[in-house]
Amino acid sequence: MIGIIDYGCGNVGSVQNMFSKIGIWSEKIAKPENLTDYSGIVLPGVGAFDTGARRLKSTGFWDALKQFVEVDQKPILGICLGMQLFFEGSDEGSEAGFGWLPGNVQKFSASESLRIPHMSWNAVDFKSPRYTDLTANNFYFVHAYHAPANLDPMYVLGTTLYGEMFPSAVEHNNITGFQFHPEKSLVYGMELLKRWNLIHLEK
Amino acid sequence: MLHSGQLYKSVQFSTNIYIGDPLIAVKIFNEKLAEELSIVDIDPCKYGSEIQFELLEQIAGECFMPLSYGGGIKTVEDVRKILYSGFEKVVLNSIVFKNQEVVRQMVDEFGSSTIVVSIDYKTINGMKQVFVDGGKTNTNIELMDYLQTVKSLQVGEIILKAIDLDGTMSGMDLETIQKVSSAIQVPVIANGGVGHLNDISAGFSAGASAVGVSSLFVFKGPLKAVLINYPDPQVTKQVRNRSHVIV
Repeated sequence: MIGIIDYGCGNVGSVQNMFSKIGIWSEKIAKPENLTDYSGIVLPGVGAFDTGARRLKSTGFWDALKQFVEVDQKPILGICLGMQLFFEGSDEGSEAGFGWLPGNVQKFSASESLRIPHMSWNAVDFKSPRYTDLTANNFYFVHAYHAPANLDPMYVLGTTLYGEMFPSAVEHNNITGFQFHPEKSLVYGMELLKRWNLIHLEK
Repeated sequence: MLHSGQLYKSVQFSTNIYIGDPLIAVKIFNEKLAEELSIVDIDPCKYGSEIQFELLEQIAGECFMPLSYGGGIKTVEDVRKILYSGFEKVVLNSIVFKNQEVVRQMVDEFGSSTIVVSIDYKTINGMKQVFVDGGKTNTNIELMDYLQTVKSLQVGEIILKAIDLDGTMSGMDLETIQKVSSAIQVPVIANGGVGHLNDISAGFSAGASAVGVSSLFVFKGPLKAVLINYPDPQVTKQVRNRSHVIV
């Protein structure tokens, strides 16, 4: 069973519905107790970095997630803000992230022609053969900040071009993060979630 | 388009044809791979009722594609609630006429890309005039003048709707689409009058970034039976990446 963290940072309904659509059991969790009962966790989220970090702390999820990921070494998938929180921090705020991935989340460099937030369907160039055979690599993005552009390639699962090249999918052992929204990316998102599940939960 | 919590298609903004339960319709659009869905509730616009946040949250939960919502948005807080229920964009209409300051605040707070302005117009004595309150109130402002005001608000997208053509499937107002798209830089989504796939191509040629197609997707055959679908899949392939589904 996959647990989807509901910490008041956005609607998690579509994430849960997408899992049920592809036949994977999941449920929303609003309290950090019994987190260890789940085989995998999804951390979604929209909004500001600091708000997200503070909500996780005030709800008690922060420590429970550290236990789940660092001690139990079980799989976690971060989506959008959820993925950004995996880094050490963000230029958007002053709170610390989990620090599972190195560096700070950064803002798109400003330019006249570039609209921020990046809000559109865009292609993800996957680097790992475990993801390169998907039927389509177009996903829906909504964000103004992104994973550090100079992230060590060993953590980069996929890149996207929007004015600059940035890591749009990241991975480190049991930790996976997508900047885009699989739950807003129709059947392409379903296929991707299925793949993540296959790699991390059905191994 | 929502009315009393149910999905309808309008004709010239007045007659409403019942399409079905919005949650079921959304599931159909998931299957049909619609790349973006725009939902408009006409009740808050026309009758001043409250925004149905709960229904919006339900719809967003069922939707596997980006979403926008319009209808009765008045405050920065309204926008925040809608975005947090799982919508990516909000569509403003009457508020743009009534309170430009609050629209500026919305753009500041949530960014241009999140804020879409919808402009409804009717031709009266050869003049294109802007209407608000779901087409009920004539602002007596000429479309191109109104557009200058909207431009100064730095919103991310414009939805242009020809009230006279709504639901008629009789072809688009290409001249106006052309004038509007060349006057501003942000994408223009043209609506009203698409009855044929050729109308969609014509809309793009006139400068629209996207074309709103509704009747063509929800009615089938000469008797206009309700059937949510893209028309012939072979033909639509070429236009589907660029056409929005607006019901």
